[in-house]
Amino acid sequence: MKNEKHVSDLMTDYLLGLATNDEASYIQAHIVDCYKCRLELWKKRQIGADVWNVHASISVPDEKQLDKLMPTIPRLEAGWQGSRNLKAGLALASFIIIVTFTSIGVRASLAKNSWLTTSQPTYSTALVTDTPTQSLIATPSSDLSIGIMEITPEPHKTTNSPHPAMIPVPVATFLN
Amino acid sequence: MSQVLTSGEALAEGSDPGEEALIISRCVSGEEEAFITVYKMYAAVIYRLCFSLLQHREDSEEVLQDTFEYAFRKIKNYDANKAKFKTWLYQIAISRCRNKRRRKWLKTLPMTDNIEESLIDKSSPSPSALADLNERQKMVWSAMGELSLKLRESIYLRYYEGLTYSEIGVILKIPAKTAESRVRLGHKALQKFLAEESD
Repeated sequence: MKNEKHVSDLMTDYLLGLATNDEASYIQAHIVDCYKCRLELWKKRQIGADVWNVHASISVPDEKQLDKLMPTIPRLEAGWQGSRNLKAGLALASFIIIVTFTSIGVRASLAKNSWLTTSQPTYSTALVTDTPTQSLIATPSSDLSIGIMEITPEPHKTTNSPHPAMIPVPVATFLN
Repeated sequence: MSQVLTSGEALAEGSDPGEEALIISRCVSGEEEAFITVYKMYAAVIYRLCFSLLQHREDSEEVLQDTFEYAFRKIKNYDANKAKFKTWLYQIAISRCRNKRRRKWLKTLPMTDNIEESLIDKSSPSPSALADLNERQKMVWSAMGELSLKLRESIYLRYYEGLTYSEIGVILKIPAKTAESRVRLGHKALQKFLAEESD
């Protein structure tokens, strides 16, 4: 026998194609004369063949059964339509929000500046400016006349101040 | 024993890459017929892979559905320049098989003290699927069940699919050297289990 050393350690790598060229040559030369290693190599090779045979022999469900297991096919058109509807909904919601806030803002700004544009003062301004409100002037009630009299300026008063007007006295009066 | 191939598997085996690319592009554009064609081509292949890894009929059917449901939804993400379509499907299926097994393991975890024992699936061995196997094949099937899922994946892809280590690496997302190592370990473990069962 040319190669005395048995090759069982190298056999798995040889069968799996992982042995080097030198190792492969050594094994091939050895098994020609070594019955024991030849038998062992055959047994190891048989494992691979058995694994293939087992998996090839597994009965797979027939086509009808497999068809039943088929998942739902995604509807790309429907998905796109759905996203389009979602976008349309979002756009509508945004529009409604913008319109609502804009109208609120306009109304708020008008209310804030309304006293500048009104021709008649409000009741509270009338108290400090001596100018009766339109509603009080129009009221014929005698109960309210006192109030009106109190705040109506005297004819001689030329100022808008609520305090009595000072009457100017000539300086010569004191000197005399 | 001759290999039991379904018509779909035969179709997948002999599929022309150009034709396959055309079918996939039709799927991307949303053609229902194209999805059905893809399913018919690969359903049996994926089922066989799942059943080999999980060794459980109902689980394999669920994973088959999950795999295609995901593949159909994400078919736009498939890049033909990176991998074959079959490789992409294998990646999805194997990932789902792992998840399935992990979930099953988590379910059994509180009920047992021995984690190693809980990893072995004691559920029904699906007798109808194994009815055609002879004694030797049943022994090999049982030995395959003793392997860890990682070793089982590598052994299946190497011995049944006849893939190279770099192809196995792509599917399992591991380096080719790691794939080599797993196949070597798997082979030695199978040899040991079979020797023990024969004695």
